[in-house]
Amino acid sequence: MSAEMLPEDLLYAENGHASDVVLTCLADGEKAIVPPALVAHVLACPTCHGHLGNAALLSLRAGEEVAHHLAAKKAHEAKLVPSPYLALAAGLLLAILGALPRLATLPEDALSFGKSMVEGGPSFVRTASHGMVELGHASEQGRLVASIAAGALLLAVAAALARRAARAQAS
Amino acid sequence: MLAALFEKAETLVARPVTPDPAFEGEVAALRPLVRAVVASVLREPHDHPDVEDVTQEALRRAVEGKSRPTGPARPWLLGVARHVALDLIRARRRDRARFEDGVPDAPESASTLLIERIADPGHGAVESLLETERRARVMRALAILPEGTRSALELFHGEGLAYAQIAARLEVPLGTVATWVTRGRKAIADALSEEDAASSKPTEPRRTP
Ligand SMILES: [Zn+2]
Repeated sequence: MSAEMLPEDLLYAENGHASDVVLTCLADGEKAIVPPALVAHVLACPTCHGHLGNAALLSLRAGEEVAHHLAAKKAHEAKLVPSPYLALAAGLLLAILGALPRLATLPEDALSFGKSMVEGGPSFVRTASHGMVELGHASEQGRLVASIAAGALLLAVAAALARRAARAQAS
Repeated sequence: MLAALFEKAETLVARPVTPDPAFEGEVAALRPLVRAVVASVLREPHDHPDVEDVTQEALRRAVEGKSRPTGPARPWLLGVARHVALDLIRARRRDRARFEDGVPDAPESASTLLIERIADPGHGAVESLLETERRARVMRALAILPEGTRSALELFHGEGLAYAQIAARLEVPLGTVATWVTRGRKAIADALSEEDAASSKPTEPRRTP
């Protein structure tokens, strides 16, 4: 099996030296696609050898520039990923609507649950239930604050998760 | 001067933990390319003794040093060679400044400046600013390249694919890939040399027919 080589018309420049394409190939380590006689010429000919050095330096510099370009492109694309604000807002609204009936009766529910535990449960449950009764009383006043704080926390966590998922999908 | 420079470097380069024959073979195969890069940076003929010395030193550092390339060996090794050659140039400049204080340097040609620019991005505040501008020009040049040319460059430099693999990926002949890569490089070199072209434009008024 013979490996594919550069076509003849790309091998030589008009002045008889190696073409820029050949010098680029050699600079990029693609020696196998250049005829061996031409490789030997480039290494022995002062003109071609000088151009090979320049081509290799340019290859090195181009690699650095392209890496920078790719990194900038990736960063730009990550910035362009839209935050799913609309979906988040809709989800949050739905969650609040669903929780509304429960939020309205939450202190009463906690109180009655706590009381039933104090009256009928084992001793360690009773101790814990006193805490729930206290919580129930406290939540009478802090209900609104607690609801808002919980909502904000939910929103923050959801936003972070959604953004991370969108970025992962984009990359 | 070379001996002193390399002696100093000796103390900085750690000895290898274990020899790696495969890597050493790869480095040895790249010797002609390393020599070409060194000659280009030093602006000396390829048979100049300094070219041989710096080539030898670059290969020694590559093989005996602790660090190894994380990707392909070629760009890494050429980077080492460029670094060693630039060290020698800086040492030469320091010596020249010491012994020929007050003698102005000979003017440099545009092509020499371009090679210097490609070889050494430069240091210092002014050079950093110029380098940022150069980089912005290169970014613009890359952005307006035809799709095939840009893809070929990105696949070669970004993904480390060989020309044959790029040809298969983009479904084009090998010669087309080689031509695209060459054109892309030319565009990058042009973007880097724009500043020189601007500064060396003729100042005489245009003749009217
Ligand atoms: Zn030649």
